[in-house]
Amino acid sequence: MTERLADLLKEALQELSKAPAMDAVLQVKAKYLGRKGGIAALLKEMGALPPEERKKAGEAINRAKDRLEEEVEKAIASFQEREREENLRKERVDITLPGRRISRGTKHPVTQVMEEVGEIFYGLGFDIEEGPEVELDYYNFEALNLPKDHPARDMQDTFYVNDEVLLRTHTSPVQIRVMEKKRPPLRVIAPGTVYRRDSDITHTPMFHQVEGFMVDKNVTFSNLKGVLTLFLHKLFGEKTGIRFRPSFFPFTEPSAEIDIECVICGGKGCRVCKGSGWLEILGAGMIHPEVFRAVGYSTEEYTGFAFGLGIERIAMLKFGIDDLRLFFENDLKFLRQF
Amino acid sequence: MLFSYNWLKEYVEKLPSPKELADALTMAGVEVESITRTGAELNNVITARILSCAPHPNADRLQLCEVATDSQKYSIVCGARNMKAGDRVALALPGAKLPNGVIIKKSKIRGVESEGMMCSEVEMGIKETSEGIMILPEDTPLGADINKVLGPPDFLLEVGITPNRADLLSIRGLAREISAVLGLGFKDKSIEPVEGETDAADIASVNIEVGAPCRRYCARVIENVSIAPSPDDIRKKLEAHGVRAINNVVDVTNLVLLELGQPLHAFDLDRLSDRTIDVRLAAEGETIETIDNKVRKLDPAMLVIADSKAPVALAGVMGGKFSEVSDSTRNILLESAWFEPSSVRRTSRKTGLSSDSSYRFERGVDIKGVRNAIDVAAALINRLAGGKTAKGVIDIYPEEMKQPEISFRVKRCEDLLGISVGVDTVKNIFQRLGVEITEKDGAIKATPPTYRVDLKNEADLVEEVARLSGYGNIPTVMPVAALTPGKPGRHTRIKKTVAEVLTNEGFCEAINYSFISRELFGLTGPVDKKGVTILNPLTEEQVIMRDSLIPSLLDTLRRNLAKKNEEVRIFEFAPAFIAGEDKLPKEEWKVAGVMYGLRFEESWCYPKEGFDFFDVKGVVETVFEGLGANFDLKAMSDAGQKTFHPGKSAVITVNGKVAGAFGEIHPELKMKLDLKRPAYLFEIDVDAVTEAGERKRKYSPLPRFPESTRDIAFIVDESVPYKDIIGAIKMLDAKLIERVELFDVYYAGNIPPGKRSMALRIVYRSMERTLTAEEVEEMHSRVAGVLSSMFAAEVRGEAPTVQ
Repeated sequence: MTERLADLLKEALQELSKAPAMDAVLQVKAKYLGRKGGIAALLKEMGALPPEERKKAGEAINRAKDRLEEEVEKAIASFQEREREENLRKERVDITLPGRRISRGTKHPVTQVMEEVGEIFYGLGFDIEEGPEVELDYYNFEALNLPKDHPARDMQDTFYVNDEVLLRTHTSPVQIRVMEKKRPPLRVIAPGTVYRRDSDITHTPMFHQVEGFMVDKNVTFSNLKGVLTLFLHKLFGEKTGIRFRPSFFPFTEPSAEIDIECVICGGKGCRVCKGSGWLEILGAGMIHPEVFRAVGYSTEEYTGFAFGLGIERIAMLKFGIDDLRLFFENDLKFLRQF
Repeated sequence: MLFSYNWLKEYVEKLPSPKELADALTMAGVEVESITRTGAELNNVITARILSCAPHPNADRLQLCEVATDSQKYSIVCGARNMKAGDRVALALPGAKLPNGVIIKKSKIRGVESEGMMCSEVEMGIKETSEGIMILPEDTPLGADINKVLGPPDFLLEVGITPNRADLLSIRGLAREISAVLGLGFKDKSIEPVEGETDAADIASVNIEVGAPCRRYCARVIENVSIAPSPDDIRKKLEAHGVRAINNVVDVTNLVLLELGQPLHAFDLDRLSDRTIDVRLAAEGETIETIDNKVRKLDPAMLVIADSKAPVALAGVMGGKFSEVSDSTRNILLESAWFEPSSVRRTSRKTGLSSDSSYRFERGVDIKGVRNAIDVAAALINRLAGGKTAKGVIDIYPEEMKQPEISFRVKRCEDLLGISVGVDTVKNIFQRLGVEITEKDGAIKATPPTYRVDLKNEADLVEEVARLSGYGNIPTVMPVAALTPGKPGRHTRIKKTVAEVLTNEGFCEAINYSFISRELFGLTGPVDKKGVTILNPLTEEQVIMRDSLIPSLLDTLRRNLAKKNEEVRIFEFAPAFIAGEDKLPKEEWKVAGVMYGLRFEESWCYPKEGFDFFDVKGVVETVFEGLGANFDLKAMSDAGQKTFHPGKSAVITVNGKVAGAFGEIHPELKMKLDLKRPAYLFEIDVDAVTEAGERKRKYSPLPRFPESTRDIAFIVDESVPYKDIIGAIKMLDAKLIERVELFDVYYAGNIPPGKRSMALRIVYRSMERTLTAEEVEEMHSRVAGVLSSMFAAEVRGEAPTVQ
């Protein structure tokens, strides 16, 4: 019996080791460990043995059974492992196929630049204010020291609705509207849409501006330089060259035009800057005493500066857009680039 | 305005190079926009005409041209392509030495003899770049020395003069500014006519009517002139500055205008009735034929120069045809005057006439210079046209115009600029500018020169100090201010939220013009609606302010489809302009969008389905969620509206007030726009939404007891709104029915026509205890009861629970 058990175990282990696949392992398991298997048969025979040998034989058979079961489990685990690996090897996707998504839309480049400008001033404690786009002549011109029959009105070709009402030609009327309602100290920017009766390759009849102003006691021209230099450095980079030169606006005195070093050629001179190396980017100045008078501020007590900039121009420089009209054609091939 | 560098040189000592001059002026607020080289100094270059051009027999890139002067023919090989037979060109003959060092000689080029070279502007040293050879004007004489044709070498400075600086609108004025800015010597010059015996006042008379907007009128009489063309150099000078040469007398008036900035006018004295000048306002009904051959109606706001009978000129704007100087003119009356700027501007605007004269009068000429200009002009006329200038000037100047005396505080100036300038610097700057000062007890009184009409108050003088000190020398200092955060603008903030939501939904933002065509305006709203119209539009496409963003978006859609962008989701955020009783229209801010094409972008992994109503509804829901607001819907009841499909659209209401609409485009509009698929549109009145207040976010405790889920399917009439069904179910027990979800709707198959099958999942839960199976079953059967009793639904039993 002991010999037969040893042979049986040897034979079973041998078959197991040769099993080529999972089903062969299961066959071995059934053949030796099943209810009608070799081990079971030996256990049945045990009944015929004398009691003193029976116990020993039983222990031997159980040891062999345990051993065999252990080996079978190992083989099963090993084949399962192999199968899993096999499956993992087979389950593959083409990772280069496009992902499944809804493409995000885009904000208009003008909006993006307006937000960027707004955030810089917002960070300096400037409030954002609004005003109407269809505006009274009074706010757009007269209160800004531009009486009727003033030649400086030629600087801004105007769309009229009637004698008194027009499409605002700049965001400066917001200055008047805010100052009429509030007292200094004021730090305000007013982004918005403006209109001029001009349409060619470098002008569209509608465009966007951001107006800004600060009024308080002791605001100086050097403060204007401070704030606008900081702003332009944030917008175009700390190393951008900036120059302030005198200019004329009826609502500021002294007035300044601010140029940045050409961002296209780095100041060497190119087509965009017409060879000058500089790009006009901002108009600014100290708020004219006549403007303060129009809103009832004391010209002795308060001083202030104001500035205005065109958004499209900045967007063109920042994104390298070479045709102004693209902004209003709304071709998705254009809009999706931003 | 254009300025000749050589001409400026006559007035300024040690004038720096054109480039240095341009930089200095620009930094002093007088922007030099460009510098152009003109004229030439060449030897052996003459003018010629191309007789023929033919390909070179041995070289593809060369042309063989026959060229002729007035007396001789030449055969020239040329590499340029921009010329054709008949063109007049500059021909360099053998022996010519060009500025680039090239010496022209007869030579064989690819086996063909060339007897000279046709020159480009670059080769002649006139320009930095050129495309091909220089083509001369058609009236250029042949065989002429090119130096005569092009004039002497010079530079033309194009200068942008700001409207306040009327004093710079002349050579002498700009020269004066240059000497002030650079501290250089100014060489003034003047000539006076040799006068005859007879007094001008005995020949002609001048009267300014009381109240007429004319402060000074000078006249001179010149007899026995010979009208003829001006000499070449005068004509060239005028033409270089953009003025057409006419005849010697008119050319002198224009020359003086360019040089001194004083507009002048010459009348044919014999054509003035009674040899009288009357400066007066026009009478009602009067007319005048101006020198541009147009008859103009006059009104009593217009200042005219009249003779004893009728107007002979629009004062400061344009002369009259009848009294203009012509070839037969013998005697002239020369006018040099000072008209009120606003009056000239009004006349100019009313008549739509603008001239070099009106441009300067509007901005303000130097009232002191009126007299000098007429003297210079008379002397020049005598020089060019002969004749005799009568004795004296008729100078009507009833009241001398005084310059303001401005108190100037150095301290105030320093406070405003943020620098310390000091009294001495201020005095030096004022002296350079010709501003006279008197000092009393440390206070400065400043009187600007008469030509500086822009210097009216202290701030103006502060600017002069800053300007001549150089803006670059003012320090850059951040202001000191209270530490307060900025307040976001109302619509800026809303736009940011809405744009975030919509870009996440795949929408691109468009910006359209606020003015649209009448046709687009008519696409929405009632037929007879009022609009805000533009009095002076540029085109028919931009005549009326839009009262809805939808027409612009449909136009944007159309343009994109034409460019083969067939998957379109576009939104816009802008005000709509609603005409009302107030002076200004109401500006209602809207967000609107258009969706067209496929629900999912065309891709390997998505079904190719078009949009439907529920896609646009979903977008609207998401926008409202983003704004933190609630809305209700009602059916599109306005039968007249022609924007939306009446059965596939809805009106949005917020707190009972209409706040927008959305849905499928009206089939007729779809046809009109020639769309292949229906477009889906929405427009939300953001003001109405945000005025209703933002929904407050509040925590509710999480459930501690389990939920029980039961499904129910039923067939019901199509006309029963889903909203009514769930409303009725929730009414059964608001506490225990936690939510009702619709998970299936279908029409086809075995469902009878006019009916639809719906499947709901109902979630039951108590916040206080675990519900028993019996309680849930009891409630669920009540749901079935409500469905059949209230909506005549045929309950098909529990739908299989979806895993």
